[in-house]
Amino acid sequence: MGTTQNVPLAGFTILDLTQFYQGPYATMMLAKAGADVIKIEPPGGESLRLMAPPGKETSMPVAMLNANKRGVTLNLKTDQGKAILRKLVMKADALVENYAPGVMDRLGVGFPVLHELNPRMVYASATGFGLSGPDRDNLAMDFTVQAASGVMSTTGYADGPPLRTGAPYVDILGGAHLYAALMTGLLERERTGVGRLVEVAMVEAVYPCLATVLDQYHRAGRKIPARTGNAFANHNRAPYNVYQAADGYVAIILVTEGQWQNLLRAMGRDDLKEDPRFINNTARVAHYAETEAIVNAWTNASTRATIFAATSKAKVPCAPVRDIEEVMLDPHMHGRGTLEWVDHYDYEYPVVLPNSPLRFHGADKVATKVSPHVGEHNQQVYGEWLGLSAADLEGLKADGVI
Amino acid sequence: MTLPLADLTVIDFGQIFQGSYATVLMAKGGANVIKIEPPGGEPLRRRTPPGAKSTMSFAMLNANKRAITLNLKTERGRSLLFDMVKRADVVLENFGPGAMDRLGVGWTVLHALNPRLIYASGTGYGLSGPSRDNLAMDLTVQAASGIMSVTGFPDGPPVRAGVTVADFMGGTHLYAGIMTALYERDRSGQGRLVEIAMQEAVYYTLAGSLEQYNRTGKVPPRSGNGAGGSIAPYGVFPVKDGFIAVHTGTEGHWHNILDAAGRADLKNEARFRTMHDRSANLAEVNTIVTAWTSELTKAEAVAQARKYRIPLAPVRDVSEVMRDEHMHERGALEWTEHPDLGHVVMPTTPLRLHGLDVAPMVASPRVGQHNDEIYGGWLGLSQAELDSLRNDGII
Repeated sequence: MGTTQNVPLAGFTILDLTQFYQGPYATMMLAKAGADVIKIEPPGGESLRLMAPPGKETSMPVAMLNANKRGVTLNLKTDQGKAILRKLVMKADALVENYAPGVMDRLGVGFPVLHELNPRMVYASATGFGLSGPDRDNLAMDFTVQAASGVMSTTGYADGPPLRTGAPYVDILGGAHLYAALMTGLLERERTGVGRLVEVAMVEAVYPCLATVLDQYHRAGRKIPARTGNAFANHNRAPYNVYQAADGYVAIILVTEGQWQNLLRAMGRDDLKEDPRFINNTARVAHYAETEAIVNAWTNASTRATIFAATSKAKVPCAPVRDIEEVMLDPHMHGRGTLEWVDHYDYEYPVVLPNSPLRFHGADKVATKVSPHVGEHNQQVYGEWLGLSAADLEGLKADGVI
Repeated sequence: MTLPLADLTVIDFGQIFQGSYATVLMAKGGANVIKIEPPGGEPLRRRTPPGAKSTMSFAMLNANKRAITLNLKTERGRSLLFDMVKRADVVLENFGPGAMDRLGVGWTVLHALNPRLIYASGTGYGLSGPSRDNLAMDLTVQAASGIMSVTGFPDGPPVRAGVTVADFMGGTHLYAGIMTALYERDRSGQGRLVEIAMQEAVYYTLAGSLEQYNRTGKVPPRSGNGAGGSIAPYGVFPVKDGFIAVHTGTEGHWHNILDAAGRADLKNEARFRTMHDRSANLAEVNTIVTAWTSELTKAEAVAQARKYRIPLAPVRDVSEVMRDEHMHERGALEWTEHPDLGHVVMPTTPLRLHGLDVAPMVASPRVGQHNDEIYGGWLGLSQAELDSLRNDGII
């Protein structure tokens, strides 16, 4: 780490006190951009490790979200542990944490204390609801924030309950914003010399995603649009849906009027080209069921591959609904170097791990290092970097400090 | 007023959602964002209903920007862009891969003109690879990226997230990549081509599902609002006036639910002792929780959650969320007057840098609203030149 120079964040040191998804996602992207990320866990490992199978430290979330980090252990409930953290802070550019609001302050290592020690250090906090306001202390996980933020109310069918999105994107979106805020703070520090407290709340990070639904709400005279499954809000666009194919499903969405003519060609239904019932989106929305039936009749009889080939040729936006195995083996993402096969000590077979979605052309690729064991780099960080002796380290271990 | 990005000039070809989200975050951080549209306006404007002048989507994604028009299909139009690029820090676009190159204004050309320029590209599938030219919208990326396949009930079809998550995930990463390149430029003096693919930006959300796949060798079935049998109780439960979502993280949370439900008698019940026990007796557990929640309103459930420390949240609709006292008090949401929409709630920015300000709300611009200001004031063109650019369809 820090030896490759042609990477955006070479020479940047980050203290990573994060856990679960949101925080680790931000620090993983920092590590993949070349920063030296030191993941600081309690001696037993962070909470996400507890969900690994018996005898293992690693699950796919641990492996994906903690690649390219160094791992140390530190017990922040001890005075010695706090003293070591203060030493680390003196040498760091940024500290990232996603504990509940106030946890670091109660431990005596909150922003005001650390800022005094190292005024240039950026301190990044991620929470569910933020560091202030009446909901600050509400317990927050991806699932509850999907509910509170309104996104769950928009997902699912009108005659069913609100539906969780199975992929915890609120956590990851929160993490991406955390990275964004941290880099903004760092950029500003280059000009002012002052490290700031930067803060991201998941419920706020997801709010802009409601744009389309808020638009439909206002258009309908301040009326909440009913859930519409895979169709557009208020069934205001057609075709716009997930259609059943012979071997699964495809998503088809029309953006321009020309694409309807293209779709008719792909479906072999040029006979409908001039049909006034379908001539533009307004007409198709007025004849919604008939429009959907035409598309379904075609997709039901074809495979996803056939449909995709035909729509691609006709320039109609379409995608097969892929399951996670298909995505994980995607030749496109493997070809681009987004995904790669990696040997990991906690898996008996190679696994597919992603690189960072942030791609800097001309920069070197940071070689993948698998997620560390709990405390794997204690010696490197505390011994070689902080200069503690072997006896010191033994003592700290014996006292449960590391 | 101290703004983190006050000295930054951004040339914004962002359209629809992905690109425009990245640049609205910059504008709220104080950057000088110049939105460049074709003379008829960008595609999102065309979704404005007949009789209306703007939409909430457009207003949210284009606040605090100045807007100009430019026809890049003309020689003069390209030359005006070159003049601006020489004075800019960032160019951002989310056209299809290769569109800017075909117009003669791609990364290679602009980089040669201004080596310090950061050029940011947002696409669905990236600038390389076999899927590069697949047409990408949020719905198709939700399908192709796997997130749709893990959403929905086991006996039903895959379901899209009701909001355009892939677009916004892409936009957030674009902003993140640009900040990183700007930071690097301070040291290297060189700009970079920064690239984001929406499909790649959402991949990490599959981590939990990939774990189940790797452990079992099988693609896990969709699990609706459940946790696929690993966490209990976990789900969406009915209350008198809607639904709440409950996520039991620890054994302590289960005991807190029992206290709130007046069922402390079940704390030592063997069938419910551990997460594993409760998962094995899921139907009974859900009955106990439902008996408790169905007697409460959303507000009462939230009050109990605070009192007993239970991870739950009301399932709120968009009108509840936009009036959320908490976010209004924090300044994340604010009531503003928009000339085309009236008195509406707008978000400020999710990026909060303590000790710094957020740019005060400026309503999204009309098409070409700042042509005179930018071409005249900034580039120094005369009124006669502006008139001729207008007459020739260049701006």
